[in-house]
Amino acid sequence: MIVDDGFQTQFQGKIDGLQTRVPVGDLLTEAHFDTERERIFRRSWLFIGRESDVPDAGSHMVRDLPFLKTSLLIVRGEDGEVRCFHNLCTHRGNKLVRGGSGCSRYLTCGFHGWTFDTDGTLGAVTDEHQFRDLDKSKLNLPQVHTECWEGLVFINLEKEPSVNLAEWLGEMYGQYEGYFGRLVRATRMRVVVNCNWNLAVNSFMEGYHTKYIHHNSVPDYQGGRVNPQRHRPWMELFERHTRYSAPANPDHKYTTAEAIAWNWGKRCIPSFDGDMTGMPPGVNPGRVDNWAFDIVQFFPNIVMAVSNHRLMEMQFWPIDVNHTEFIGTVYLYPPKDLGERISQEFVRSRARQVVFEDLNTLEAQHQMLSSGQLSHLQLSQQEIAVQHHFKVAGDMLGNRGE
Amino acid sequence: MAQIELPAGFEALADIGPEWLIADEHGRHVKRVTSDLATVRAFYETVVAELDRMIAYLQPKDAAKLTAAEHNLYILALVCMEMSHPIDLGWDNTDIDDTFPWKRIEFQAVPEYLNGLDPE
Repeated sequence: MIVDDGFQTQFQGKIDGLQTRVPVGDLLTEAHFDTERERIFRRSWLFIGRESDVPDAGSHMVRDLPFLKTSLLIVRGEDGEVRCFHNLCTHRGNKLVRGGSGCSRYLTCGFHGWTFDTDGTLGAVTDEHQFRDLDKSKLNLPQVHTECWEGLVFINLEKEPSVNLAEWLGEMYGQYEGYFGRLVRATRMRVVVNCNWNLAVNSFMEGYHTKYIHHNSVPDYQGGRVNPQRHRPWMELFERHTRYSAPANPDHKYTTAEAIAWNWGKRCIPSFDGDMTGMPPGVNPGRVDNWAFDIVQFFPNIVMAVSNHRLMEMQFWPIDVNHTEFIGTVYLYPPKDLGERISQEFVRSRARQVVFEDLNTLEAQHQMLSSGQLSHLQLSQQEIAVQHHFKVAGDMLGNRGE
Repeated sequence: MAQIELPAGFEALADIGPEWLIADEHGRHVKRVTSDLATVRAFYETVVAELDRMIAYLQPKDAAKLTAAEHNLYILALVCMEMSHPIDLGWDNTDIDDTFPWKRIEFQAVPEYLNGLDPE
């Protein structure tokens, strides 16, 4: 018997023509991954970090991307501009900065001491007169296309990107003014998960799983009597990206520590206050009642859980076809006193459990999809963002249909 | 048993033991999942009974000027929040049975959080 609880999702965007049965096919093969790397990751605007990661002139950080066979160096120049370079010395190709982050007026190679300005210009060359035919103007650091949006740094590895970042982000570009800067980083964790990057991203792009995977950590945080199947009240499909709003549970019962946490701080998870004060139009875009948070996928590999007092920023970086680096960062409202700080510890520790549950399922799913026993992923309307992910990927790959 | 130095009025918590003064998020997580449920329950039930009063005491304090005793109280409050989940949610263990192996997770420092009051 099919039971329809009557709670309707408001769909926005082009939902027709998506495949409800996504073929598994060659998804988990090396050959397919190689194609994804070249046609998706080398052609997409990729979120690489925050402007605040390089706060001062000379601040720099390294981001290794071995699957793209490069390491990137993000640098804030003396002029205040954030740039990204391939992290190699143009003399003999040594990795210029070995790792981590720092702040210096010049970037000096440890091999022979060649020195670059923070805008990538080659400055000093050791024993320069020993070089014949040296044209220093042709030996600046190789720059990567870099654009910033609302404090987020995106890069594009194409020689000439087909679209700029504003075009890439589409309608969302103007919808988050001031949002990302209002929250402070509170937790960051990293792990290598034994699963394909598509599966990792997809698992955070639907709420259909929440009643099951999260029944231990946040048993009643969504839905409630008015929406027992936890249908998403609002779902949007953009040209490349997706966004949906998750339903809070108006019947949620506080636990003991949770009640104390909310006496002193703002409700983030598993309860939500829905306060929209100062929120830009991209946050809870449908202005739905009983709103918990939004899930925004920035194709291909970023998912953000966006709410009024909390942001979970999730990066999924392929390592190879079977492994994905997950970097999860939690941002919270700036605690104005120790009461709010202690309240936030409840949020930090509870939310951590939720993420661990998600990660655990990924490896089990990857293991069994690798068996080849399932020909298709059968996806529901509540998983339409996953359908859309494969549509966008398919278009970039030259369409991998049935 | 070693006692924790705490502000006046919180002497009832002094016997909890210094092993519960865990200043970093990762350490608190490890303490929970490597402790047995009875141990966590005993700690939690002792502290949560005072938690609202602890926070009321700490809330007006300048975070940068806490005394050692006040800092201990603050850390105990953070640990109490960490320990709350298995007890309040009725888990069979101090970690969820079917969850990602915590030893594989790398917690990265967030020094900017609360201006370094938390030594993480």
